[in-house]
Amino acid sequence: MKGKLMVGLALAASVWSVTVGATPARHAPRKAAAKPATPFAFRSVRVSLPQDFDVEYPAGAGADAVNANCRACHSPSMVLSQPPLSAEEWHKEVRKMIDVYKAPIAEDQVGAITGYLTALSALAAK
Amino acid sequence: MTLFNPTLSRRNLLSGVALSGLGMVTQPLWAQTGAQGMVDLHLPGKPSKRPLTKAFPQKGEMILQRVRPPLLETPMQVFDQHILTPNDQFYVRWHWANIPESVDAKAFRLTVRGHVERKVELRLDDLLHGFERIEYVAVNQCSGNSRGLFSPSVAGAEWGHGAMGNARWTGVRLRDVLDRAGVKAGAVDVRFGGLDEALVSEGPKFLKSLAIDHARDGEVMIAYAMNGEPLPLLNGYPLRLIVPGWYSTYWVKMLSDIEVLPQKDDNFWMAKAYQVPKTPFGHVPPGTADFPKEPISRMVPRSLITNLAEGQVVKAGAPLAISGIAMGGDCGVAKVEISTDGGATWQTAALGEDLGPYSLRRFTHRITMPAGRFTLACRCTNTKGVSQPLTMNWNPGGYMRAGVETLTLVAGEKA
Ligand code: HEC
Repeated sequence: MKGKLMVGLALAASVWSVTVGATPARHAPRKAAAKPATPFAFRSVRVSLPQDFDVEYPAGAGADAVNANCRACHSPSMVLSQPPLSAEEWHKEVRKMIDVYKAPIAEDQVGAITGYLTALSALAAK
Repeated sequence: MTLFNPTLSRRNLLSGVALSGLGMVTQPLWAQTGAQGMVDLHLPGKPSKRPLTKAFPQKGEMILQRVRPPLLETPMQVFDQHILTPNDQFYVRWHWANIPESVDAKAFRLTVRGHVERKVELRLDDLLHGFERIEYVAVNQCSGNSRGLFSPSVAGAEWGHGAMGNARWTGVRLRDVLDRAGVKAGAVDVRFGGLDEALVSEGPKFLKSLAIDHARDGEVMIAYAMNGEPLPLLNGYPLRLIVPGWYSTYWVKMLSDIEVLPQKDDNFWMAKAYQVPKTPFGHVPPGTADFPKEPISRMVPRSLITNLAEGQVVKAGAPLAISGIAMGGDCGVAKVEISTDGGATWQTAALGEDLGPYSLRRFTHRITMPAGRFTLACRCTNTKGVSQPLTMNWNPGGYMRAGVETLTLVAGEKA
């Protein structure tokens, strides 16, 4: 098994004769100082990741609390793609965000958030 | 850069299917985003449609699960077309959105520290020139791949089957890198961290560990290339840990820090998250919450038909080609069987090229069906003699789905 995993350097060298590091130009890779004898060189990479901070949760009672507290760390789609959950299950999720992932959510907001999510689930389950 | 059409104002996003009473919208907002088409992942009892997107850097068309941090799923046709998943369609999965958008190749250092003789800081060129190069093909599969198909449903990333990819990885042995630092006697775990950080400072940084003997087995790799190219940033550029046969949660991306520990790692991502029942296939009867747990580890066999879709109409009385992919899990594929009668009888499929024990393997078969509805199933048995169970496995974390998958098809006059 282990023998099979190894590759001869000669073979590997041919793999590396391709110009790697050729990321799309718009990502503006900085040129790495590749020695001529080196078949492979790392290039710096720069990309721009899509954002969706402008996307809000569907309107409804408690939506303000959810928009204010449930968009910092992840897209709303993380929440909106969940199966319908009970009030207790949503409460546990919100507690997990606060206790485990350290979401800075005021305790007096938890009820409104859980209520909103439970109502959304109830609608989806219909 | 905004993924969603910036011309859609907030009001536009929120209008649409407002429901009476609460004024709520049950369709996910992404259904109104002007995305390039939707895919139905056939997820039971939960939102099932996802948009396709080409908005992510170094990525082609992907199924959008989440913009931030990115969760991008590989469409099933990609597995039908390629046994090595192209880098630009290889799935993407991050936990925290604090992901560097640039990596300076010259400034980058991989640190090896902790319970070692000497702390080592390696440049990318050191890895390229200072160590023996190794290469192999291996499947990278998310622990929660196919979670969306769990029934009863469980919370988490609601993936279809595309949270996996198969690639040829090139790099150096983790063992050789550890030896450069000199592991001290009494080492227990080796912990891996990447350039990504938690979004809130007190949040648990994503860190994963392997037992020292596993880390030093000579197979675990620090990869700098994937299918002969540098890794796309979203797949972990410049370095990624490769743990063949193990679930992807251990394949730490943008690997920058290796810490040898003289005790068992008790960080959140090892001790609390990614726990599975200590049973074969991590299975417990649906609904069970209390059971002895362990961190998820080795993969188990799976197989999926890639050229046919749920509900498809095929021609009755004519040969029907079946094509799919199989994995042995932590070893090779021994056989794949096909059933057209819900698992009562099985026929052996032909296997494609063997790219090594950790690779996906193609299977093909031909059947001819009389008119009517039928259930098509495939079952992989690995080289250790482990077969996919006929009853779907289940656990509350939504991990390790690997029971026999079925497709319901209709054979009719016209295909
Ligand atoms: C401090 C950051 C943070 C905030 C704020 C936050 N979450 Fe999360 N959430 C996370 C992380 C981290 C995950 C795990 C992500 C992953 O696995 O990709 C997660 C995952 C989830 C999931 C998926 C199920 C699970 O348990 O993994 C749900 C549902 C969820 N969050 C709901 C919410 C809701 C509702 C709010 C607002 C009350 C919220 N989140 C606010 C960090 C946060």
